[in-house]
Amino acid sequence: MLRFLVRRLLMTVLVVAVTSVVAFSLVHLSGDPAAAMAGEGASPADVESVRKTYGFDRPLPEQYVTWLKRVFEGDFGRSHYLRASVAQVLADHAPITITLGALAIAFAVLLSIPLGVLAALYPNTLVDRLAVGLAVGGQAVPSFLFALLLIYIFGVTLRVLPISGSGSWAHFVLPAIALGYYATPAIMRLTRSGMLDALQSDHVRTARAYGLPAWRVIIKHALRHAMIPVVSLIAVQLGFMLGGSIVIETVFALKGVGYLAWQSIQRSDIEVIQAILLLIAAAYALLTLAADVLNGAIDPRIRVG
Amino acid sequence: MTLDAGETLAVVGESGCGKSLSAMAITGLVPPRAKLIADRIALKGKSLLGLREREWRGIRGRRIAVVFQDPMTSLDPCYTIEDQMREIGRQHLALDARALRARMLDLLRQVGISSPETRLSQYPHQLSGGLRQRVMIAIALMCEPELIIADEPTTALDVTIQAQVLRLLADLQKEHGFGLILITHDLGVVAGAADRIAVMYAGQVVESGPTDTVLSAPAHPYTEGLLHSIPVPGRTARGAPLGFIPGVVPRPDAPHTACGFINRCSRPVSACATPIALMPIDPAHAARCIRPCLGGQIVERHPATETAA
Amino acid sequence: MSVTAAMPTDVPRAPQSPGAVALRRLLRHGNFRIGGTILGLIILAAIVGPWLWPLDPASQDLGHRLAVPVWSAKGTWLHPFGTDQLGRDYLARLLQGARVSLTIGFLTVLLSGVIGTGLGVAAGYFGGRIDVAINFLITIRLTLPVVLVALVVVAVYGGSLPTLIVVIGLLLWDRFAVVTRSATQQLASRDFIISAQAIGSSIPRILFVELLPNLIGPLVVVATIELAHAVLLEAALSFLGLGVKPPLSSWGLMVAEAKNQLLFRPWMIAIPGTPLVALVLAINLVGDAIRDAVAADGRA
Repeated sequence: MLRFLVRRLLMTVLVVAVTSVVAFSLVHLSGDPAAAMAGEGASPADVESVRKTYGFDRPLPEQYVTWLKRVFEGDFGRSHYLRASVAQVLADHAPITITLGALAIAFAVLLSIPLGVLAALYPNTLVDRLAVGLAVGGQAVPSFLFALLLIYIFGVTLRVLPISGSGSWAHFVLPAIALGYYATPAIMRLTRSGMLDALQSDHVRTARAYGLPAWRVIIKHALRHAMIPVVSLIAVQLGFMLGGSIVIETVFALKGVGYLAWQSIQRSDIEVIQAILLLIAAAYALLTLAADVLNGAIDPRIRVG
Repeated sequence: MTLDAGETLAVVGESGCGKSLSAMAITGLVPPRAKLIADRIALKGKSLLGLREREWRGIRGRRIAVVFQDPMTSLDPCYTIEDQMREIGRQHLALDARALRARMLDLLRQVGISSPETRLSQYPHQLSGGLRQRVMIAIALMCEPELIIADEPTTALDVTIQAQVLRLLADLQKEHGFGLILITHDLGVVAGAADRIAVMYAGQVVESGPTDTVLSAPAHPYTEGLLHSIPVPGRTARGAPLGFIPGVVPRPDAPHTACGFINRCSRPVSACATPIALMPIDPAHAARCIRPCLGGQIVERHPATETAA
Repeated sequence: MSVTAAMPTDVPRAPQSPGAVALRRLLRHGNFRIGGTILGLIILAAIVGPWLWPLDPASQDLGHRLAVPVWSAKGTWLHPFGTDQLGRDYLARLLQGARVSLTIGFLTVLLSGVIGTGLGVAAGYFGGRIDVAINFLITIRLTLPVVLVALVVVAVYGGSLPTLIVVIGLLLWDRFAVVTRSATQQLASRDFIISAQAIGSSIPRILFVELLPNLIGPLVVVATIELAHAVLLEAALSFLGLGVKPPLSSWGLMVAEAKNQLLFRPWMIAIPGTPLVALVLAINLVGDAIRDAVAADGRA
C-alpha cells in the first residue's frame, strides 16, 4: 500500500508540475500581458513601464521559474484589475465554489446511486426504463439551458427559490441542482451496471444462501463492489464540476471561482487566470488521488499485497 | 430425492442438466426466470415450498448450508474471514462476541486449518484455493445444519487437494451427523463418498438408488452410458475405447412431452414418445425408463402416468 | 439491451461481412431510427434551410424588434419565429445556428479523432516508453479544465469558427486515445496482426490495413460521444460570450442574448434551446444504437 501511495503521489506531483507549465504558457504565449494590464488607451511608454515592473521583458522560462517560486511561497501575484493579491481574491471566492461543488456532487450522488441500484434490482421494469430514459434525456440538455429552465420554473413561475446571489442556503439549491444533474447520468449508469454484475457474483449468492437479510446483502456485499469504479468516476465528475461551475456561477451570479475566472478572462487579468488554472488542475489531480486511496480502503485486494 | 440424517446423496449428471439448480431450489434460491416444477420440497417432514422470505432466512445457513463450487469467488473479497464468519454467526446464533470468536476458531481447527487466529484476520485473496474451501466448509458448519449441500466442492481445486477436501467432508459428517448432498459430474468421486445416488438428466431425476446398485447394475440407459464413459480399473479392458453418449442434453426448458433421452438412447421404442414417470424397480431403486436393464436383461414395463420425483 | 441477438435460423443465408450484419442490426434498432430521423432533419435544415428561407440572419429590422412568433396572437408570417432585440429574423438565425453547430461538431470530431486515434494506436501498438509518455499526456489533458482553457484561448484569439474548431478539437481527443489504446493492445496480440508481422509487413501497412479497420466500431461510438460533447461545448462557450461572435449566429449565443427575456418572452430561449437538446439527444441515441450493434458481435 505504501509503495502504491508513494508512486501515486509522485505521479500527482509530476502531473501538477507539467500543468503549471501549460497554465503559464497558455496565458503568456497568448498575447501581450503588459498591454492588457496597462489598459486601453495607454501610451507605449506606459506599456513599457508595466512590462519592466512586472518583469514581462525577461525570457519566459525565467518568468516561469520566478512565478513558480512565488507560488511555492503562497504568493500567486497580484490582480491588476482588483488591485489585491491573487491569494486574497481566491480566498474570497473559493468558499462559494467549494460549497456549490459539494452540494452539487451530493445531489448527484444521492439521486444517481439509489436510482442506479433500483434499476439494477428491477432490470427492464418501469423503474429501470425511467432511470435510463432520464439518463439519456439528461445528458442531452446543456447545463446553462437546464439552469435557465430551473430559474423559469422555480424562480419565475413558482417563486419559491431565489435565482441569483449567494445570501442564504436557498441560493445554492438551484445552482447545485443545475451543476449536479449533469453528473447523474454517468454515475447512475455505472452504478446500475456495477450492481447488475455484483448481484450475479458468487459471493452475493453465498451471502443469500446463508440467510443474510436482503438489504444487507445488497448494501454490504453488492453495493460495496459496485462502488469501486463509481468512486473514481465521482472524483472525475467533481473535477469536471470545477470547470462547469463557470457556466452555472455565471447564470446564477454566484461570485465563486468560476465567475471570477470568467470575469478575469474578459479583463485579461492574467495572474488570476493562471492561478485558477493551476488550482483547478491541482484539485483535479488530488481528487483522483483521493479516489485511488478511497478505493484502497474499499477493496483490500488493492490495499493488501 | 430423499436423504436421511448422516447419509450422503450424490447427484450426478452432465453439465447443464439442472443439478445445481435443483440444489439451489432446496434453499429457495432460484433465479427469477427459472420455473420450478416440484410437488414437494421438505426438511424433516416440514414443507419448504411456499415459505415466506423471512422464514427462508431462518433455514438458509442455519439448517441448510451450501458449499459452493468456486472458493475463489464465493467469499466476499472485501471482508476478512472473521468479518464474514461473524456476520453469518450473528445472524443465526445467539452468542456474545467472545463466544462467537471462540466458535469461529474452533470451526477453523475442525476443518484442519493450522493457524486459525492468523487466518481469521486475513482476506480471501490471501488464502490458497484449498484453504478457502476449508473456510467455506467451516462457515457451513457454523450453525450445525441438518443438511449440507456441496455443489461441485472440488472441481475448482487441484487434484491433490480434491481428495483432502472430500475426506474432510466425510470425517465431519461422521462427527456431526449432517445429511450431505454432493453434487458432482465426477462418478469417481461418487463411488467412495456416497450412500445413495441420483442421476439427473435434463432437469429430471432419471435413476436413483443405493450407490453400489446403481453403479454396478444401472437400470437407465443414460446411467449406463455415463458409466461407460469413464475408465474403471479392473472393469474396463486396457486399450478398449471408452464409450460416449452421442448428442447433447436437450434444453431444460423444453416441454417434457417425451422421454428426454429418446434422441440419444441406444434402445428407444415408440412408447418412449410419451412422458415417462420415475418407476420403482425395488423399494430403494427407481428409474425413469420403460425398458430398464435389470440383472443384465432389458425388461419391458408399461408406461405409467407422469408423476414428478 | 436490444432484442437483436441473431437466432440460429436466420444467420446462414449468404456469407455476410461483420459490417453488413452490424448495419442490418443497426437499421432495425428503434433508437437508431428515432435519433437518425431527428439528426437527418437537422442536417437537412442546415443545408437547405437558408436557401428556402433566404432572409439575412444578420440584417436588423429595427421596426420589428422583439416580434412575437406566428403562433401567438399577434404573430405574422413575416417573421415566423419572431425577431430578437435587434429585429433580426429568429428563423434565419436558427438555421444559421444549425450550420454553425454541425460544422463545429463534425470538424472538431475529425480533428480530435485523428489526434486521439494516432496517439492511442501508437501507445497501444508500440507499448513501452511510448505508451508511458502518451498515457502521461492523456492524464495531463484530463487535468486541464476544458471550458476554462477554451475560454482563455478564445479570449485571446477571438471566436472565429476556425479558432473554435481548433481549440475544441485540441481538447477533446482524450477519449479517442483511451479507447483506441486499449483496443489496439487487445488486437496487437491477435493472430492476424502477429502473422502480418511475421511475413514482414511494414508498420504503416500493419497499422492502416490490418489494425485500423478493426477499430472502426469503437471509433464511431466515441465519435458520437464527442460530437455531442463538442456541440454542447460550443453552445456553452457561445453562451458565455466567448464562442461564436455576432453577427454570426449560434444556438448558445441566441440563448445568451435572450437570457434577459426569460421572464416575459420565454419562447426566445425555447426556440434555440429545443433544437440544441434535440440534436444532442439524437446524436446520443444514434451512438447508443451503434454501440449495441457493434458490441453484439463482440468486436467493440
